[in-house]
Amino acid sequence: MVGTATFVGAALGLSIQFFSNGVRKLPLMRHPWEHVLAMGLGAAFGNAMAKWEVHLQDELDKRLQEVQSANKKRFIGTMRAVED
Amino acid sequence: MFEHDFLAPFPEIFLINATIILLIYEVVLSTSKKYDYPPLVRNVSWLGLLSVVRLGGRVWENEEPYRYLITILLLAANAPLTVANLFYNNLIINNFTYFCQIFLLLNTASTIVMCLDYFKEESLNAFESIVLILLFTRSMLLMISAYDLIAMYLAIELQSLCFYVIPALKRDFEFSTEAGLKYFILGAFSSGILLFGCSMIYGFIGVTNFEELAKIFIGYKITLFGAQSSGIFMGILFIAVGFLFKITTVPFHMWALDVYEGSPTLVTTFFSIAPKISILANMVRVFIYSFYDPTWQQLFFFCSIASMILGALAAMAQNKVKRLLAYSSIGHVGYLFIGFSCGTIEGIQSLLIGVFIYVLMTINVFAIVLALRQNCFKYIADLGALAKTNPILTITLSITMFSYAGIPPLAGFCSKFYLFFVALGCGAYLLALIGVVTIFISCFYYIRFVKIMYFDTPKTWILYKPMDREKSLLLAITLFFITFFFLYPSPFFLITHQMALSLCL
Repeated sequence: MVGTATFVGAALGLSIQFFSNGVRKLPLMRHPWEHVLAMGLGAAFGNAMAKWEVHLQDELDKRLQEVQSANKKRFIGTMRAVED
Repeated sequence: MFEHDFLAPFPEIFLINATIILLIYEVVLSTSKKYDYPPLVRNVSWLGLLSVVRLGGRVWENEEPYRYLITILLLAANAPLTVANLFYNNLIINNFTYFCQIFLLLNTASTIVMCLDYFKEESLNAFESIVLILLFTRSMLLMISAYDLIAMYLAIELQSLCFYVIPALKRDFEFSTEAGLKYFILGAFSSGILLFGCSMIYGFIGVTNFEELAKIFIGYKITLFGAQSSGIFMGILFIAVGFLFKITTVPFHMWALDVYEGSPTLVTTFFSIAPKISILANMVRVFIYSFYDPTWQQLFFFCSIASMILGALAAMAQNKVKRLLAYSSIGHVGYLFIGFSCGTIEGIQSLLIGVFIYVLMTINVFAIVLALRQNCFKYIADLGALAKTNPILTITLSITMFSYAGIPPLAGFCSKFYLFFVALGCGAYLLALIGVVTIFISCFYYIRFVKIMYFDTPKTWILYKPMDREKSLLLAITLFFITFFFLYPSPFFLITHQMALSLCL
């Protein structure tokens, strides 16, 4: 998981830097340190996204359970809404 | 309670302070004889960008102060799941407002990035435009979190006041002045109608708070007049008309074309991006959360169908890029309204995904338009030489146009697919059918861009100057998002699901 996120993020960062140079008609490998920086940022972004997805999934599951229990409480016995 | 009230809206307060400081900085320094009256647009743009990015930090209970300094994206990774009602229920902070605000701030940052080079190219020393952008960003933040009709109206008015000024940025250009005046006169009418609607609702129900209104409209609380009186219906209708005008749906779209065309390109960019997020967020809160009533649904069905049809048909006859993009924007609002008018959780989710993708595609297109602007790029035919002189930019624009046209597997296809899927799910078969037909029609003018770029021989050869680094990076990020969205859409589905759920009572 971490490896994939790092690899994909780094590849994306590198592609963005290549694109940025290419669209400005500059040599693709101009200022190589920018490529390294872009790869690093891309890898960090990829990992942050992967972590964030897990976090979001957990929160969503929790929220769905809350909604479900609130709905059950609201409609027990009668169709009229019950004040909490 | 007191701590919450002033800490939670810290971004808005920070933005107001930053704007005031920027304004003083500009006024004092730009009139300084000692520094030879320096043009400050670029400095102010960077400072504005800094204030917007730093704005991402929210302060919540049990949080470390270092969060002030993290950028928006990293902040989003630890989104707060707290619900806070602020200033006696006038504002609310929850997942929905939080993510909408982050997205809005990202878009404002993108707009400021796009304009870093713009003023120099246009020889325009209008540093006040950055201050105005920051001011209406603040208004839109308040608008997203508004939880009361009065707070909502005040936020909309704050936003509109800035919008009236900014199209007339080029004071010596008659189209720009015309655009500003036109928007001012028509916008004033729409604000009046909106306010009248709010006063009718208050007159017949006696409350202005969204939560109270929601309880009344779902039948939880009964009022003297009941929730179905014609006065209330008229109030909702007036509020809807005010909103529909602001978001440029048919039949209230007339102002958009001239304002889009007459305004400076930078302003057009901001007009077609930021208000869509704030107004749609506010509309969702007002109509789906508060006025939970099927009476307004037919109105939005009609607006959706009319916008889709007009957006597809009228754009075909356009030769000017900005007018075409204005019609495209109207058409896309029609598609977004499919999700909105369904009124379900899935509908809101599809609407939010649609807005995210639409905004990113629009940033991409306008970054290209602004990059080519320095060559007096005005008509679509001016793109004739692009494929020969800059093939990478041509591929980028082609991919974005394919995405606008909804061609798989690009992001535009995913958003439209989900919107139509929701329409079928809630039984709005006609909406889905008309949506598919209008997409087929709109392919004609989106693919015309590609045809002109690759197959037409240009009448005059234009040598395009290379764009600046900031725009190229923005272009790269949006292009990769559009192209690879289908491979990894799950975070967006999860966020939008959470946002939609936070609107549940």
